[in-house]
Amino acid sequence: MSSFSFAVEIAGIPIAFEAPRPMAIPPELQPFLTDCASAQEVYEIRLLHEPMVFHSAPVYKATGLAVYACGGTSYREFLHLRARDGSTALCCLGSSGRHTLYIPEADWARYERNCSLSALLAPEALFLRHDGFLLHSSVIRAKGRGILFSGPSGVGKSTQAELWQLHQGAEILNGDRCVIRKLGDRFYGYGSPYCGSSGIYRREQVPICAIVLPLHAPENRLERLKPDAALRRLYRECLVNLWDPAFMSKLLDLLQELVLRVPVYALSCRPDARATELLEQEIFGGK
Amino acid sequence: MRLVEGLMLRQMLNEWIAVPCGESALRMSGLISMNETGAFLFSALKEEHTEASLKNLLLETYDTTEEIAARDVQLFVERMRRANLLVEEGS
Repeated sequence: MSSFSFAVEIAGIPIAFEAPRPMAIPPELQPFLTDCASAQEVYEIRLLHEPMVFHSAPVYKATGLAVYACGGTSYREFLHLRARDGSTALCCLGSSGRHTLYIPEADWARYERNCSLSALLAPEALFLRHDGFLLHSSVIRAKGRGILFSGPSGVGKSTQAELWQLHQGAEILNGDRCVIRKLGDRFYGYGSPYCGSSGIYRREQVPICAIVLPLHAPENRLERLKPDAALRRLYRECLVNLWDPAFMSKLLDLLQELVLRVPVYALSCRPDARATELLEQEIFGGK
Repeated sequence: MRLVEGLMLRQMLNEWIAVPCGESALRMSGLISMNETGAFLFSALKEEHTEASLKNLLLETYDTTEEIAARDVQLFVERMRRANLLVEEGS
C-alpha cells in the first residue's frame, strides 16, 4: 500500500509513482507534474531490505547495467547504484503498464532528499510502448515547427540550438535527449527530463520538420541525406535495448518511417549566424 | 566459421541490414548494410561453413562464375571478420 504518490506527464504519457514513504520529487520531474488520475503507466516503488538474488546469468551486461530475464519478465539492475549492504536499485517493467522500482532501503535517505528517479524508469522501453524513443539531440521550436540537432557529444548540437535562439528567434525545448513520438502519421519532438547539463526541462511538444546532424567545419555546407544513410546515422544516437530483439525491431520500424517522412540533413558548419541562415533558407525558404 | 549469436537481419529501405543484438552487440555497435548476396551469405553463416562451402552455396543458388563467387565470399567474410562478428576455430 503506497503512502505517497505523484504523477508526471512525459511526452504526452501520464506516469504515476507510488512510494511506500514520502519522498522529494526530483527537480527534473517537477515541470512535468500532473494529476494521478489519468496515469497510463504506474511505477510502484518498493524498498529492498537485502540484495536481490538472481539464479541465472544476466542476458546482457554493460557498464553500469545488468539485465536479467526471469520467467518472461526482465529486471534491469543499476550496478552503479549500490547501497552499503550490497543491494542495488532495479527496475522491472511489466507488460500491462504496471512496473516496479526496487530501491535499497539502506539508501532511502538519498532518494527521499533527491535522486535522479527518471534515470531508473527504463525510459527507452517505456516510450517505445507508446511509439516513441529517445534520440540524443537538442530540439528547438522555430516558426511553430521542430528542428532537432542530433549527434554525439561535442559535434555542436547545443551550439547550433543556441545560435538559432539568438539569430532566428527559436526556443530550446530540450538540450540533450529529445523524446520522439509518432502520433497518427506525424512525428513530434518533446522536451523531457533527460536534458544533460543544459538544465532545460520543458513540458512541450512540437511537430518535427527537420533533423540536422551538425559537424564542426571551416565552411558552412548543407546536404540532405538519403533515407538509408539517415537511418544509419540516427540509429547511433538512439537509446537502445540491445538484448531485446522485439525492442530493436520496433525501434527500426519507427526510424524507417521517420527518415521517410522527415528530411535529415548533414550540416557542416561554423558556430556563426550564417549556419542558421543556410538551414533556415532550406527549411522555411526564407519565409 | 559461423556468425556470433544474436544478429538480426532485416530488409529496410531497399537494402538488407544486420542488427547486432545480445552477445553480438557487445562485439560491435551500429548497423551493417549489405546487398542480396551478402544477406544470403549472412543467413548461411548462422551455421558452420568454410569459405569453400559458402562459394559452392553461391554457385548452386545464383547464376554466377566461380571467380565472382569466390570474390564475393572473400569480401563478405573479411567484412564480418573486421566487424568481429565471426566465430572461428581457434579464436
